[in-house]
Amino acid sequence: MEDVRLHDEAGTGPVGILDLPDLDSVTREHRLRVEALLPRVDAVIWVTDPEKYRDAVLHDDFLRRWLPRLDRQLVVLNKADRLGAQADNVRRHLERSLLDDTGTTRASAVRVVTTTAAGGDVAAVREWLLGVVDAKRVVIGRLAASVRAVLDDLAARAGVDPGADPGSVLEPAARRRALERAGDEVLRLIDLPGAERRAVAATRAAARPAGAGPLGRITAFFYRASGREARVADPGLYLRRWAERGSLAPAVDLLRTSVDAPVRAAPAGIRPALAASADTPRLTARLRDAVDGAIAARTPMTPPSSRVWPVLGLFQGIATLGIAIAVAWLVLLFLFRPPVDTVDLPVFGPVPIPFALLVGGVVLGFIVAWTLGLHAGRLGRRWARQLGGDVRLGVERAVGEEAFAALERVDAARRSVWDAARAAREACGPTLGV
Amino acid sequence: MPRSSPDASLLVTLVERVDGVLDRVAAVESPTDAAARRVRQLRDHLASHIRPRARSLEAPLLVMLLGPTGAGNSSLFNTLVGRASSRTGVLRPTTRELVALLRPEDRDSLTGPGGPLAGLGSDQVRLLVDEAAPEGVILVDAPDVDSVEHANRELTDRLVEAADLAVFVTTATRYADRVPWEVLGRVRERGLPLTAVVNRMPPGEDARTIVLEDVRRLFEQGGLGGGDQPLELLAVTEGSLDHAVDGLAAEAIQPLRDRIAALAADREARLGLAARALGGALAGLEPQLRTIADDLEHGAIDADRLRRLATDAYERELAGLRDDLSRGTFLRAEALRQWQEFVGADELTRMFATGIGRVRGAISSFVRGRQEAPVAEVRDQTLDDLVALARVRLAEAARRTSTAWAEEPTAARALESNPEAWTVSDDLEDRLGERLRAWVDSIAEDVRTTGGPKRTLARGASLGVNATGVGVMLATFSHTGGLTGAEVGIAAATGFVNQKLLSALFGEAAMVEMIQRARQRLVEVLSDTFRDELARFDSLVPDPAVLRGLAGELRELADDVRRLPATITVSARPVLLPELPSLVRPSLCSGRTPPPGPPGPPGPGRCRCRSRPTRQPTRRPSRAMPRARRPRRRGAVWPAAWPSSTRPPTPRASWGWTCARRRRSAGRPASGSASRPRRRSSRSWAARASASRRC
Ligand SMILES: Nc1nc2c(ncn2[C@@H]2O[C@H](COP(=O)(O)OP(=O)(O)OP(=O)(O)O)[C@@H](O)[C@H]2O)c(=O)[nH]1
Ligand SMILES: Nc1nc2c(ncn2[C@@H]2O[C@H](COP(=O)(O)OP(=O)(O)O)[C@@H](O)[C@H]2O)c(=O)[nH]1
Ligand SMILES: [Mg+2]
Repeated sequence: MEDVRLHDEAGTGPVGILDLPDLDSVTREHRLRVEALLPRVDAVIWVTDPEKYRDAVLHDDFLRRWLPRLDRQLVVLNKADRLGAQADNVRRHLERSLLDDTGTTRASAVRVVTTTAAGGDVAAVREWLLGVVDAKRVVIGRLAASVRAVLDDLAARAGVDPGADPGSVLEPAARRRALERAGDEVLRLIDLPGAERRAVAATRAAARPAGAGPLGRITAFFYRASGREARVADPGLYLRRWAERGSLAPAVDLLRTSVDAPVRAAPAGIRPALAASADTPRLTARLRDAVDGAIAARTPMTPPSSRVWPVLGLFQGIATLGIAIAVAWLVLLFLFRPPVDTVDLPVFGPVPIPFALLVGGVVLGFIVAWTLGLHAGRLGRRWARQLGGDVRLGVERAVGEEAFAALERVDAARRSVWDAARAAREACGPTLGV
Repeated sequence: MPRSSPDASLLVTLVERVDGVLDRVAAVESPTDAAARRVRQLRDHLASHIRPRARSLEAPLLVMLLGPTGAGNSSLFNTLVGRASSRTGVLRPTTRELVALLRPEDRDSLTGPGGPLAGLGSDQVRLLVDEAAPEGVILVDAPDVDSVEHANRELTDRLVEAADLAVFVTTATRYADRVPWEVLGRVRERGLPLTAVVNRMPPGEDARTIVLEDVRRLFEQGGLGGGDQPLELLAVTEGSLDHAVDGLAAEAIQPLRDRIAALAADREARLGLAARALGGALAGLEPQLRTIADDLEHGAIDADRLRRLATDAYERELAGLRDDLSRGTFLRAEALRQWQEFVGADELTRMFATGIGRVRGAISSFVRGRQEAPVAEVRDQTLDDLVALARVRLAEAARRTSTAWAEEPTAARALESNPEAWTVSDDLEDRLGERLRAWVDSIAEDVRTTGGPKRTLARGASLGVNATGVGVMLATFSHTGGLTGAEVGIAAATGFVNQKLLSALFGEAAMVEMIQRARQRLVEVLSDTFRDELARFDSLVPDPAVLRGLAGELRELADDVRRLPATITVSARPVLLPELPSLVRPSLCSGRTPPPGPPGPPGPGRCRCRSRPTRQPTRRPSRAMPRARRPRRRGAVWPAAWPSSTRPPTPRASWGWTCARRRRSAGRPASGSASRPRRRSSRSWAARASASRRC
């Protein structure tokens, strides 16, 4: 600022006027100063003359950019005295050219007046200035205009049309398909049928010590000690080791491929953000954690138990005891041949008691074992189904949450840009006002 | 026309050579718009001025009127012509075509083939053919250079390249406008003789003096008309109009009219001016050639850096993929289980333990009559997984590269028009699948030849060549030195059994070799595929080698221009080349192009300059020259050291893959590898491939 002059002219009202340097000379600082000040002023009077009124710098770099953005602007064609009768002709030429610049057809959007400053004829400018003094409205209008312009620009770069719902970058159908197929791929790795088989085996293994009597306890001990139980009857261990059964690459590839088309179609500005949603190392790690989490959420995987089993165990114990007594008796019989009683059985007639006891014990043991197997199998299958269903649900939910998390953030950002741009349009109106 | 002296033919050949190289330069994509404009300007200049003038100075002089819109170009033209012939008016801009006043006999030399305005359309030039036109002089009114009609500027720019004398018309209110000064910058650069007219001067003597002094100051600062060649300046007072001719008052521009009349009357004066114009043009040629060479060099540096970014990303992902493969955990359990069931893990293991001789006998009896080998299933599932794994890696490399490129202006432009570069190429799956199937076939072929005498055994075992091939294929991923069957996990278990089977069939040593060969070929297949994908990025930027080659040729030509004799005879008249700017260069850098790739930190003996010509102070364009071209400033494009963190992770140390690792180091140039930072370029692929064969 070089000089401040006070004015008390009634003709202009309470306004401060800044005389800015030129826009187009070899002194670049002038132009920079103008560019720095323009966003801060409340109204602009663009002054040009018959020689310069169609200069490229004025139109390309200033009027085209600022006319649609600021609310109060006047374009003055000075030195009208040089044009004489042609003045209005030239004024209209300039006005048409400005309408082309701003792409509007409403003549009210741009106001052009002619003056002869040297001759003191600036009445048109004075008149316009009187209408500008409503400073508050001017400032709000200017703020609104720049907010609207910024948001419109942002919306364009995000590929969002404020007039239409932004939707999702990825078509919902394509998204569903990708999720389903990726979920299947992940479940294939997890191998639910294998886990279910192990769940049934685990239930059987759990039933054995409780329901198979003393011998059952012994076999159960060996079963566990040999490591076979861990191998074939531990669904939890099997599920936790899902990552050893192949790679997540096919699933990740499916998810990644689904964003290919949107990335290619997106405006260049948001491509990096969109492509980041297909950052495969991160996607793989997130999927892996999500699946681990879904499986961990279902642990500990304790097989079901039943009160029937101890009862069966009691019978099995009795049967075992019967067999043991029978065997001991038979040994005695063999060694010392004491007299034995017989029982009368239908069909068989009289049978020595030890024999009857042995056969009875074996038959009872078999029936009890069979019942136990049947019962544990049924319980185990029910549990396995439940377990499998839970894991499947958990995994599908985890994949669904993680697969497009980054994409959803882009969508959310686009939607908020859209909301804001629409709100700005509604609040500020799409008009260019002079 | 007088016979060309040897000197002139020397000039003609030189011009042809420059033209040939510039043709090729124009065919490659310029790094910036400014660089493209420089090439276009010089080509136009060669074709429309230097070449015709080198052949003959006798052709009519081309005098152009040039200036901002509304300054009064056409008014001046009309007065010079003596009648209203170019339209004037209050609506800006008025003139939209070249308006040329000439004699009938000059028509061909102007617009005919090889003439200065050859190739312009009929809507771009209007010829005013007039017997009474001044002899030997063609007067041209040009459109403006600064209005919103950008086509006008293009047309005038063309004429600036062709003219022998420019009359710059401006006004007292416009003479400091920036845009016309861009054009004057080019006038200075190409050594075009210049006269200035300042129209609409204020009438008062004081105001007049002030304006004229300021005009002179600006011109001198801009490198025009200082020192021994004072600017010819003509001031025309506001309102000196002659409505009869729709132009300025004749008395007001009398000096200019006299000047043109003198040229028309005196052949020697015309030849003198033409010789001056040609001399200036030749003096301007060398710096222009060097500037374009520098543009190309900068383009090469940019392209190198971009390509390196891409190569880094792809190499890193390839290393990652090889790491994945060496672990073998990507093999899917279903396929392995099928294979394990087929090979009959438990029984075979037991039998192998009891002695190889028995086993061999046992295999045939054992395996015979078993189910069909699940060759197709296991192979297809494995290859599917392999393809998925490679695709994920390649997609990541493409994404990384694109993301990095999107931040570079030139590359971003290329990416914008090639959005498919963001992902893998569409036919990748087919291409890679095909190569992998060929790879499996090559394994079967290897089994067939290696099997030799044992082939009968394999056949006898009803295992078949293909099934054995699948066994070798699986072993490629799971064979590691110290694996034991005790490890849990289907991959380890199957690998163990599979390996036992293979070593029973072929013997340990042959098996190991066969697996290694298969692994080698797989690495080649994958490397080829990665290279193909990388090539998509390489093709988006110009080849740095080509750019450097062209830059070198241009510099040689610039040297040749510099070696031109001080006087050249053209049309039997000496053309004096103005004192050429002598070039000050550090001796180390003279004529050398910078080494390709990133050099190490600057130290003694390392050339840092890019052999940009440095003008002597007297010829140096003033700082105040509006928009005068100055050396482009560049970001740090020569990284001081290679960041070690960007190197790909070393593959896991298993014997098969360490071989691949050795190949990596073989790709490095042997010379100076100890002191120079490691350099990786796309060329190292080839080196590595050949090293891989040795390995
Ligand atoms: N008052 C006055 N008018 C002038 C003067 N010189 C030119 N004019 C007028 O200015 C207007 C523009 O003159 P032109 O000769 O058409 O300008 P130009 O430089 O050819 O403009 P373009 O064709 O647009 O490039 C015409 O109406 C001329 O009569 C002058 O010294 N004083
Ligand atoms: N003929 C004429 N000359 C004018 C008019 N307005 C200004 N001038 C002259 O144009 C010149 C430049 O004016 P100035 O206001 O300094 O222009 P600025 O550079 O845009 O600030 C001065 O000599 C003025 O006398 C006008 O309406 N008609
Ligand atoms: Mg004109």
